Amino acid sequence: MITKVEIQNLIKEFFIKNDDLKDFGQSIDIKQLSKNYYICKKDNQILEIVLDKDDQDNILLYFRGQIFIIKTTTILFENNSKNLKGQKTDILVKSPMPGLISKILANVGDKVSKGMGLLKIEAMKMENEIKSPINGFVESIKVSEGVVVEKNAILMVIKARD
Amino acid sequence: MFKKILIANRGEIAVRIIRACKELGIKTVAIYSDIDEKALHARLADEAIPLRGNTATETYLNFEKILGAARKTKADAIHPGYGFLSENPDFIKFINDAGLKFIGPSDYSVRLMGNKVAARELMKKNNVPIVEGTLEPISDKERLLYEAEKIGFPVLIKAAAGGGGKGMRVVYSKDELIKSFELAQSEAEKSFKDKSVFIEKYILNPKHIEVQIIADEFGNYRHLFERECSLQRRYQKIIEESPSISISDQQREKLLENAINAAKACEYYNAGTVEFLFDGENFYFLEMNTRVQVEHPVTEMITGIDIIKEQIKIASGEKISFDQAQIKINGHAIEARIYAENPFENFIPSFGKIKEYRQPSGFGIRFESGIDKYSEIPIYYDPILAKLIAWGRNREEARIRLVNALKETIIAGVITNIPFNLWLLENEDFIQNKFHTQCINQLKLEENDLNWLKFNEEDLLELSKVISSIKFSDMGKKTKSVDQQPKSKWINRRIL
Repeated sequence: MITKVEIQNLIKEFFIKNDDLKDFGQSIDIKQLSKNYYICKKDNQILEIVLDKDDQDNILLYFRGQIFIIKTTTILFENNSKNLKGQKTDILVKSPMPGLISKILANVGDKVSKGMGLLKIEAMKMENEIKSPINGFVESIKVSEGVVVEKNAILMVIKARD
Repeated sequence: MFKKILIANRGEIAVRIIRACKELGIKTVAIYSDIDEKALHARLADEAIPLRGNTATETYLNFEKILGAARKTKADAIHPGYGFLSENPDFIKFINDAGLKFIGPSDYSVRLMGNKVAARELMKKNNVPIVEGTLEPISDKERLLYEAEKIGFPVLIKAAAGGGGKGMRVVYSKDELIKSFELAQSEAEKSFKDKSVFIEKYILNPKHIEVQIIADEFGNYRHLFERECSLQRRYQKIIEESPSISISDQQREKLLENAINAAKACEYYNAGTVEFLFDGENFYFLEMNTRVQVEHPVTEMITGIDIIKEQIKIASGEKISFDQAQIKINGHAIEARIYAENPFENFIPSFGKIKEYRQPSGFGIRFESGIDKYSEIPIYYDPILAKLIAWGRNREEARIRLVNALKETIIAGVITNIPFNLWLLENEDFIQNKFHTQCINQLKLEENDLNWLKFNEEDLLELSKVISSIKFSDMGKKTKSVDQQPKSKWINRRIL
């Protein structure tokens, strides 16, 4: 198993193998002091971190005045070599919140790039744009305008391109 | 002296004013909107009056409700803080006419300085330098060319009805003048249905330097030296410091004299700030802020004068408590404003519940906060959360203290601009004092908003591993609380 850690506000990603993590886990001591506050100790080095989640299910990591907005994905071992090479895979775009699909901005077959708006969801009188997580093509659209969706409902399928 | 003061504000400045009142032995009244019921300012005051509603218009801007709250609690004065009603001459008149005292200048001074054209004319009449330019609109090309050459390039063409940068053009040479003039006119016509334009000298990459003034109601004027606030993003100040290291002693003398003259010209009393642009040689009057400023603590740190207490004493009819000769610059202070805004997404406001909170402290550190760990940041008001001020014997000592204190600060649950503040304060250009008011705008953060961030790859990998190691099912799990200790009984006893 591999964990993909995307530091979204730095546009940076790391792939962390489970095996590496085993060694790392033995060398690091993590203590949870409160709901959000952790102290990590590794070779006498202290990392004081605060973790939170935003409404898009991203992890917010606060560390020495810095803030990292992080998304982690677990990649199954058999697929990871493909993923690592960035070969064509289908990515499911899921709804981060329950809401009303107010506008669909892309069509099937459209070439989309990372960060491009795919559709808009209205929740709590606020319109939120759902952006493409990758560079790719719109493979299929699973919802239509005016439909109410649950959190994590599949909205679109994007086929990755290089 | 007043017996009870109502603070017509919220957040950190309301807390700041409550503290000053407590020092003077004055009772305090807070007002709060529905969502601010549990806000820090409403918890620290002696009394707190709810104003129904949430929007500023329904609450902190509402003349009648505020006066009603003051009457109900028998407050005898109102401190407006900054923002909201602090520079509204009608409110000042309304409060004073109601028989209460507004802690601030007269409505006359505020009205006068609020009109930019009138203020410019008044300054010119009183020999306070202003940016050279025409005071009436220009419509013909010959006149334009004459004025432009008289002023000297670069010049700024500005729509008379203008605002928001529309109809504004910088012209660097005679060749571009006519074309820019026509473009500015058509832009002004489209935007404001009025094609008249002014022309003035364009100050290239200026510094923003301002002077803190205190005057009493007996005609005594004092200055508390200058502040430099050149680091701004879209006219919003981010980092402020005092003194300015951009000016020489002779320039400082001239600056302070100009500021006192500006305050005298509008018959000013109470605390105020005269803002100037500085081009490296000359100062140009920009505007006067007729209230206490967000950045007033840097001045307090280097002079030892409590500006809020001084405001209250002056409003109650006392004379200024110090002579000019007693005021000396002691060391250096720098302030960083902490806003609930996302520096990674073009500074959009961030709101929500505070999940974890730690204030920095230590020698030379002052944290002026409007929040604590029980706060919720609402979407209705200005996103300022707190200000962190560091004092040092010199600029570098203050800067290092500020950086370390920012790194020690924890405000989790919202996204703050602390990472951006750190980037500015640790930047070589800041250390070398090589920056001006346009620096951050010129970075074009909205187009390429992450190129200011740089991180050590190894640290990031380490953090990524930590993240992968923590099971997120653990997140939210509460730790065991420590058993409550039996209370000791000293609390009800006197020391002697």
